[in-house]
Amino acid sequence: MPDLDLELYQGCYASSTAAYQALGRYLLQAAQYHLATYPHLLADAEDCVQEALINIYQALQSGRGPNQPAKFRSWCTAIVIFRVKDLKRKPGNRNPLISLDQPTDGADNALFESIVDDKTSDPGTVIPGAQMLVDFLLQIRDHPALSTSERTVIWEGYMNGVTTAQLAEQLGKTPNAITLLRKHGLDKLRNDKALMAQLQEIRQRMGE
Amino acid sequence: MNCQLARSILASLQSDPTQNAVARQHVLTCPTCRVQIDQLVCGLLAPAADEITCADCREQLSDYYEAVNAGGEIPTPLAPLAQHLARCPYCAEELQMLQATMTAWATGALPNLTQEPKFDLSFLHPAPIPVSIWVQNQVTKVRELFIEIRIHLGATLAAFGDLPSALTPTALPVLQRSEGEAAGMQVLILPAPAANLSMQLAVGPVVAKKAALVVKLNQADTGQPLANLRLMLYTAERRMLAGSTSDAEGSIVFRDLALGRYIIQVRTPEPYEIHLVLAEK
Repeated sequence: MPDLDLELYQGCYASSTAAYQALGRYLLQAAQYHLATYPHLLADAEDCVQEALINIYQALQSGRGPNQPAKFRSWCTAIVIFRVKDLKRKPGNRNPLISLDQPTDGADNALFESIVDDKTSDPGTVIPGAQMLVDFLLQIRDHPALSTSERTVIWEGYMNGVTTAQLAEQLGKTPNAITLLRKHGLDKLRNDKALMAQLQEIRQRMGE
Repeated sequence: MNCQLARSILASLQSDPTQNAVARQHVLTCPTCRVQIDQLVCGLLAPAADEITCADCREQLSDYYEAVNAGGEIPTPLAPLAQHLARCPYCAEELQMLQATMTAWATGALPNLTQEPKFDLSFLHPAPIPVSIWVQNQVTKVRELFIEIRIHLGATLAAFGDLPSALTPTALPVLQRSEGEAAGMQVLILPAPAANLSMQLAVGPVVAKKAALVVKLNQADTGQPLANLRLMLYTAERRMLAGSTSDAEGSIVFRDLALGRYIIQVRTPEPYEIHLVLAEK
């Protein structure tokens, strides 16, 4: 197995079509493994893998790949898993075969998952609990204690999935400075007792 | 409305109320957006020494998996990740999925494919083709200004093509530093009356498939340069790439733009956006 991984690693670094085809085959198996209980999404698995292959190629070309062949497979696997996870979260893509009583995965304990059921996850349906969450989000956005930089770092980091390294590059700051901005911003929000009390109330009303 | 646009509108403190309502409606009905909010909530409720986000966690998740798999102690640089995984159910689930996949692969439990997949691997060997740039301009508020512009790039001249009759590019001399000679460059003036500004757009020479984009902002009624206006550069997926403030001349330069799709957003009370497609043809 390790020899095969070395071959795959070297082939992908060399932009070999055969290596990418082999990698795509493996990633498709991985995607289908996680979509086994989502038969309506199986057709989208190939698209997830196609996107993952392009991401992998771009990362390798820009020197952002793993430095050891032994870590290559898990690195690639993680990339396709993120695509699969995002696919499952899209509106209308929740599993129609699984009931609310049946825990499906670790995320079911999370606040959001607790307020979504199969009926309300249809696109266009507003969930009452979500209203409170969005109001809460807008309060954070408008919070007077946050500086512009802190607001940008928190919003882009959490809402748009921009990494600390990317934010550092975009804002012309060091990653440590971004981390500090995020920490200071979050601490300011945590120090707002009324805001945090409201958050606790939202959690309670949604059954944690 | 897609997730990125909805979140971008909601992020703006001064966004249009109608757009705000549409964006809000999107977030209320979109599971993906609500997960993002919940991730912020998780972060708020569980203070950590090093506040990393789920996006940071994704970057290092496979390293963490490998460290756990190797046994022994988690390396110090991954300690914040361990903290994050302990408090974030979303990332913990992704780690679980990664572990399950790797185990399934090692034990031969991954499903067999019923047919050989056909991936488009043309990105591996891009054909050497002439470069041209497409510009698509969409003013969010003023829909009648929706136009598509093509820019032809030569060694010394950038020219906009296929323009609607209302828009005429102006030729200005620009010094092309790479050759040390004066060269011509065309500037396109894009009016945005709703925002009381006009945006001048010029594209620099393409070097190694990367171009510079020069944006100049003037007040529409007086023609005076608009200094200290904030401009954001996003990918087509609304991922922020850069943010900059116009100088005293109202100018901003984005350098080294690779071919691709971009959105330039001017942060004014009336949102103004230019959608660019920098592409080879």
